[in-house]
Amino acid sequence: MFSLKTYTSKFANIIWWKLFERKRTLSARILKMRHPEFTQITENNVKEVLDSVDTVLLDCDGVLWRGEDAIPGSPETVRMLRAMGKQPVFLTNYSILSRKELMEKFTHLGYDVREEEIYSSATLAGLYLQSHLQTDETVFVLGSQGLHDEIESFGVKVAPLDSEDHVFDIQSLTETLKIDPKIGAVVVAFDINFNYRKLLRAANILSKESTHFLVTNEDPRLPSNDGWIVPDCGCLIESVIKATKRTPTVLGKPNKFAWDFISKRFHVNPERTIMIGDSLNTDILFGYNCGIRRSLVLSGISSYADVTNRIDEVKHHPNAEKWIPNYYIQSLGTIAKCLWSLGLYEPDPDGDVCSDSASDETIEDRVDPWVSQPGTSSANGICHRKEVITTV
Amino acid sequence: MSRAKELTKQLLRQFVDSFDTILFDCDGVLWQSNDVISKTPALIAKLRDMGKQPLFVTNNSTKSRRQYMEKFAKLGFKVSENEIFCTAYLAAIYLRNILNFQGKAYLIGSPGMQEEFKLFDINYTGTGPDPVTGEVEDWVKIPLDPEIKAVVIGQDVQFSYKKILLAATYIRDRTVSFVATDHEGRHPHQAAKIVEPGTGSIVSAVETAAGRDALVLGKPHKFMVDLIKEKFTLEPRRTVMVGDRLNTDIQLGKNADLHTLLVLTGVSKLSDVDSNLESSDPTDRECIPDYYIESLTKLTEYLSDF
Repeated sequence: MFSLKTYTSKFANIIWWKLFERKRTLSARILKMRHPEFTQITENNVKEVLDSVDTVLLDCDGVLWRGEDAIPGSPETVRMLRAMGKQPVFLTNYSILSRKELMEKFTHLGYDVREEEIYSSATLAGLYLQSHLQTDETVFVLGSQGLHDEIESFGVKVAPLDSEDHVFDIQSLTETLKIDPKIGAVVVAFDINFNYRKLLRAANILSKESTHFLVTNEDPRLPSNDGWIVPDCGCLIESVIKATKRTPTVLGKPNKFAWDFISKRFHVNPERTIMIGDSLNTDILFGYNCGIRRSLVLSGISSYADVTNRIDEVKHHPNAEKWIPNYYIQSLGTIAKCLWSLGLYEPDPDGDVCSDSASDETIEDRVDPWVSQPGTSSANGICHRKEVITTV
Repeated sequence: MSRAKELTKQLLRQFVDSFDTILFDCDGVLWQSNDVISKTPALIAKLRDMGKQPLFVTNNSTKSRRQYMEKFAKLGFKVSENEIFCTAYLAAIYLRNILNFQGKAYLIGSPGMQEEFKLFDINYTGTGPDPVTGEVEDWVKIPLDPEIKAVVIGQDVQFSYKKILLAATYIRDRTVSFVATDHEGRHPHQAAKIVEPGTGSIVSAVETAAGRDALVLGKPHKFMVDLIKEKFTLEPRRTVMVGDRLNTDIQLGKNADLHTLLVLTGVSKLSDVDSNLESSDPTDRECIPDYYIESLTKLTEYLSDF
């Protein structure tokens, strides 16, 4: 039944929605003008982007998995990339597992991967030491057993992990400290057994200037929940730097050390390569340092707002450009979804490309609704939309 | 930006007349590890005879004032406990008198610090070895202690990854104070040719994990001098700081407007003074001692004719 109140209310809603759309469109337009490169990957451009690349470098944590769970749609996307003739390469700063152990994780989570496609920072340590140490030199490792095993798999001798009881008196320790002159390198990585005694040993081994000082990555913290801070390698590095006044060689992202090995091994054309990761500070900066395109996924560490902040910074600090990705996408699985909805790809019926569990639940938490991307839906993800709302 | 002058016999009168109070760093100045630097006990006695007030200011947090008294006595010095300003004492005083501390402190520190904390009736936890059992996943299930209202860091040979994790998590709450005795990264032991990682290497790890800087109580920060002024007459322009490290001892002198004397029996060398003069950092360029001398042994010899 018609009522003035209902009519007024509906009219008000239409006006409100139109204003909302106008502001959203205007904001997105302004954003694109400020930084034309920062483009969402959608059904409109996904084919064009994929046709322009042969090699896809993929970060792991926050892109392929979170902790021990695969991110929905990611295994499907990796299979699809391979089916399209793309070469995936997996590049992670994670140093805890050897390549063999990482393969087991990939397989367990449903990924189709070859061992030689995996470059963890443990692998990079092995590669570096293999080419820089003399055959009789050893390495002192502050890290996990997995790192120890990975380095040894490259034929490099590792000094046994120091697992002695660290209750001691500093006076007697300094009198009995013996440094093996054959130690040619120190590697600092994530190490829950890090302690003062190891720090003392590392500091004294590194007194010899010719000893290599390597670190796997500089990340200060691991992702964690419930308010706990879980320190990563970056903290232990600061300890060793303060105690030695030496600057380490950083093997992992954003340092481009891995690029030399990857580009030779896979005969990579930089112009036809893309780096996909979840962290501006490691993945996106790595891509910039290697001179390749880079895409941020919003299923991990960095948020949409983190990028817009960098875009704002560029006005005053042009350097901030290095942290701005060329593209962004909700998650890796969105690529497969987009191709499916374009009819370009048949998903595995047992996969999870378009199931409810594959909805991009993270985007709502992270996105400012006044600067929303085109085409987002709070319900079931892109593949269930009838149309894509475009902006400019 | 004047160059440092060598303290020669000719400049001795000018030097001696410039101060009433003389602050001494200890490691590398009066002793090296457990070996006294020759004639320094006699120097202290002579200065007292001349009407000067010697005071002892050290960033070394491993000993309480009582333990320092024992070391001074063992090495032949006559010193009163109230003349000793060590960072274990500073940390306890800071919590008790400045913060008016209630609650518990998470302490990464040596038995010397624990002794000072007990003397000032400060409740603390976390000291000693924290054995690594299980995985990180297990540790993050243990509930945090809600009584902890401060994290205090000094030198700790039981320092470990687990302590970084706990300390950093506690100071996530900005209402929890975060204090360090000093920020010295390393202590070279000349005789043994060994480097001992310092408190700075421990504090840096926690600061990096938490993304938060500690309040540093020891040199070069002025807290020590402010504390001394409460107990002794200290006129900055009538005070000289004698030390072996440019970035702590001499920098404290600059921060508190004291005269400064660098001794070359410790960490800093004349080449470090030259590097500072040529540095692009203005703080470094200002951190030049007024005088330098090879050792306090030499100063004692000069003063013997006084």
